[in-house]
Amino acid sequence: MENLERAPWADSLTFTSFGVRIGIRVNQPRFGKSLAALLPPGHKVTPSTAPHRLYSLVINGLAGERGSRRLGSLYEDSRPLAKERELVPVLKFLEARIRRTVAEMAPRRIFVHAGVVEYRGRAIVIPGPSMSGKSTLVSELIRHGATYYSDEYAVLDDRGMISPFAKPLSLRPHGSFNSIDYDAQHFGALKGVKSVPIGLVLVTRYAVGARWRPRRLTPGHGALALLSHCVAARREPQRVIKTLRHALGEAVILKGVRGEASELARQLLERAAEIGVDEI
Amino acid sequence: MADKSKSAAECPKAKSNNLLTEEVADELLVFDVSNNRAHCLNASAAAIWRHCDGTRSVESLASNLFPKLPPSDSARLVAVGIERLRRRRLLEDWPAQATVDLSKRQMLKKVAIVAAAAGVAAPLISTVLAPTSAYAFSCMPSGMPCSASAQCCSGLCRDLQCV
Repeated sequence: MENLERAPWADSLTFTSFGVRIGIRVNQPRFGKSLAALLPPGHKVTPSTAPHRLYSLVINGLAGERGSRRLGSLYEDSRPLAKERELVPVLKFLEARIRRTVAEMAPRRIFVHAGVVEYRGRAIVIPGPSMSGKSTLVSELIRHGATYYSDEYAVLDDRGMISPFAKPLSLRPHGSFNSIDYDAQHFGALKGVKSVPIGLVLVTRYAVGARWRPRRLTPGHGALALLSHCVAARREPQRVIKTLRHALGEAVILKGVRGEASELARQLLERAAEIGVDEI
Repeated sequence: MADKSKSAAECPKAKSNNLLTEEVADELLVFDVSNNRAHCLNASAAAIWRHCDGTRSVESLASNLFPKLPPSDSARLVAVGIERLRRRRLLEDWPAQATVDLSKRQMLKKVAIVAAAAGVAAPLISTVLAPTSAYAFSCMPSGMPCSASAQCCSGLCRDLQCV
């Protein structure tokens, strides 16, 4: 392991996101732009004060040198996280890791692994594990007129209001584990800027040929559905269940297997336009 | 009303240590810190659990909570609730063996029908295991660094890299 404190750091930056202060440093110059591209939604670059978590990127070998091998090593505080021959996977990993750190450490927010859009002043929240079709459904909802909030986390404050966490949407082509990132603009959508209450929670997963025939869940069961994907559920259960109670006070919670996302998105938003998201 | 004629083993007592509770509409969320399980008790289950103070027998709970039902039906309803609470480890010092056979669907159906006729819901408890923080994150695509297979979308981490 390299001695991180003695390494000559050529570039660094510190930022805060949802109250978490994170530092990144790199031992090679000209990486400032690459680092800036990794920062999570809603970040603010701050003066270089002691961060809650520090990431150190050590790059051996210079770009463009013939025959050189560029070995990238990533550390979280002093703990080695990754070592790769290619830099791109290390930078991608760091980007995801930073979002994860924010989700884990945010002092006044609860992060639930979920897709979120806003429609007519209410959030539609789609909790679920990776590969369950959250991003696909989010992309179709924003294509049909909803505002983009996130395809990764529902960020709840103590009152149960949802803040945007609008990272680029990561969509996986059929049969692939690798995703391609798209900006919300690609779907003709806007990104959310203000906190909104939850109007609808969709507990769903994709199944080929399925018809959307949902059943309504009680607020208690809705709370369990969100808690099942909540980052801090074990660390701060009291705050989590209290926040979920506030969040689900006015919400409709529907559970069912869905077919094609495009059809469901169209149906839902047409119905929401008629009677309101929280009356569906 | 306390039932002094019954021994402690016949009077269920709600567990209180390591439990966090929150009312959500007419349901009760209970988070058990000792095993990271979250339970949702419907109104009937919550009422039974709240009244299990270690001094009331099943019959006493039944007559108190469901006075409109015939005594045998209300006792069966409470017994089903107690058994569901016992299975979730929400009772203290309650016998390890089942007091009611919950695999008997006909009996459960009858209990639910009798209860519904009196405007009472059968006691129900839903449970989920709170995720570790690692489970609540997005998975890593192929070629990304990993330390465990659960981190990878493919479910396979080989040589510290997602397959």
